[in-house]
Amino acid sequence: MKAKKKKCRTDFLYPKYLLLPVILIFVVFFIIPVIGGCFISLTNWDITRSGVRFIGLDNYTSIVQDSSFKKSVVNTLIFAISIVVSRNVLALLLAMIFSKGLKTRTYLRTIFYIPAILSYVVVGIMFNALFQMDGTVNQILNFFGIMCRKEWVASADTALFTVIVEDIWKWTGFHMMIYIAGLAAIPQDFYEASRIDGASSWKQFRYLTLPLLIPALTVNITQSIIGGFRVFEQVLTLTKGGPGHESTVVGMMIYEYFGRGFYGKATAITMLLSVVVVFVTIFVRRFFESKEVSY
Amino acid sequence: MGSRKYTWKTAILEICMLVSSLVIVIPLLVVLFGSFKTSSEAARYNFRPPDVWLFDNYRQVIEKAHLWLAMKNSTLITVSVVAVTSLVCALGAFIIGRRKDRLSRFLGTFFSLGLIVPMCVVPTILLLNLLHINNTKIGLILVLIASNIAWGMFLLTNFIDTIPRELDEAAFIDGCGPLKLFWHVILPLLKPVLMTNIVIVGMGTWNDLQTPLYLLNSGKNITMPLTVYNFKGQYFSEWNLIFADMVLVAIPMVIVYIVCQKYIVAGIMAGAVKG
Repeated sequence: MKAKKKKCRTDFLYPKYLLLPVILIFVVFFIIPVIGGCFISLTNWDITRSGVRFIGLDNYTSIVQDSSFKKSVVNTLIFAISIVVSRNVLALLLAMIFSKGLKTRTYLRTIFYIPAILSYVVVGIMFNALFQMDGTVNQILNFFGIMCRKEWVASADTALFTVIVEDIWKWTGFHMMIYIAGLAAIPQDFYEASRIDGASSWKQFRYLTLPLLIPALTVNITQSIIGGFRVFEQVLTLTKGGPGHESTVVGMMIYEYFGRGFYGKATAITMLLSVVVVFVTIFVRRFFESKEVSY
Repeated sequence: MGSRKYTWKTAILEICMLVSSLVIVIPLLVVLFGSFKTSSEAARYNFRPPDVWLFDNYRQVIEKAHLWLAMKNSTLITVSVVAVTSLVCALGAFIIGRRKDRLSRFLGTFFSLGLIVPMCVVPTILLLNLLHINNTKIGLILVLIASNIAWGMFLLTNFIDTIPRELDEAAFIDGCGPLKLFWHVILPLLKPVLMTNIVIVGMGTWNDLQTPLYLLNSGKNITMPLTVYNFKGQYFSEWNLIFADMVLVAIPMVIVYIVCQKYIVAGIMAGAVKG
């Protein structure tokens, strides 16, 4: 009650008009385009047409019948699931090894985080070089006696795989840092207590570490899900969705429709993607919030 | 944790980790060494040091890919985006963090949309056209500010709570109005978290490929990541020059990373604890 009174007394020190710049920029250059997008997605606007008119949900129905769009949805799902699992499993594993008191942990932490500060264009083209037929990956495989002359990027069966590897390479270190922070926040006494109670290390992990890591897990999993669904630059800089449409993703389809001048359709795909990302994110957050504990 | 005993098990783990760090180091060496090789040597994609170090590759690529221009543009864009985002977000976070009313709760959720929803390209271009700033740096800057506001607000609002309100009241008694209070009391105390915001927004802006790719199509506004993308499309066999361009895109960020590591870690911590 006391705090409430105090707030009223000093609110004039925090006038609402100081919110104007941030709200103005955000609304004009972010929210209005999204709202505008809802309308544009209902029109037949493309580069060849002079008269633009509303055509209802036609864009949506024609998109979902497009076979390359279907392929892109499947690929995006494969990509998202693969990276959410791999980024997080690897990052958590690395973070837990780090908490064992390694001597070179400062060096290692710095190295593992470096990919996160590089541009997608750098990482994408680098992986292009690594996955060439005579590229670094095949050279290393050959060195270990596995003869391999595969064109990883240009082959239908491995193109998407290279994008997944690239993404994991880029982001595992980032998630690792969050897990390190999360692990460091767990008091050591808890572990000692559980050791005295005779808990095995698996039980310690399952019933102590994991529940207390929920905040870090929430951040990492939401971040990687959002990143997974919005995947674009990884594909553009590595496979360009090829060969054909074998490794295309939803973000790539937007780019393609946009490039061919189908503005209405490109926007319709953006809208579909936005709705899916928002719902999945809310669902995941809710799920983890319900699991959150404090001891 | 430092009190743990260093056993042979830890030593084995340590060796495993050092070996696995090669997964990161080797690709970087392919690019770095490659950037000093001849084009045919670079196209062997190995991580041996070059036979002869060709520093001239850098001069060539700077000329061929118009890197001076790109560097100027990227610097201008990054600095503007960082400065404006930090200032407007600090102001906004100050108000939202202090007024704990329904409006600020609503705005918290409202801004977080920017972290989730992807940019809507076509209407953005339409809007920039209407404002006569399509294909200009200023248009790109405004769009990038808008897309970074969500993160800035999230980071700064959480931090405002740690500044005691008593300071505001003391400043008020000393005769400060809202703006003076913000400028002389709040802003200096926000410095560490502002640094985090500057580093993270700055890196994101410098590295961004998608937004300039969609919003800029004239050569004179080209950004650093775009030069690599275009150069790769044009001179796809000159791997040494492509690598050199990539190194030039990455170097400023590596320097910032090494110098500002503690701010980056702080930002990550803020994200990890608050969610």
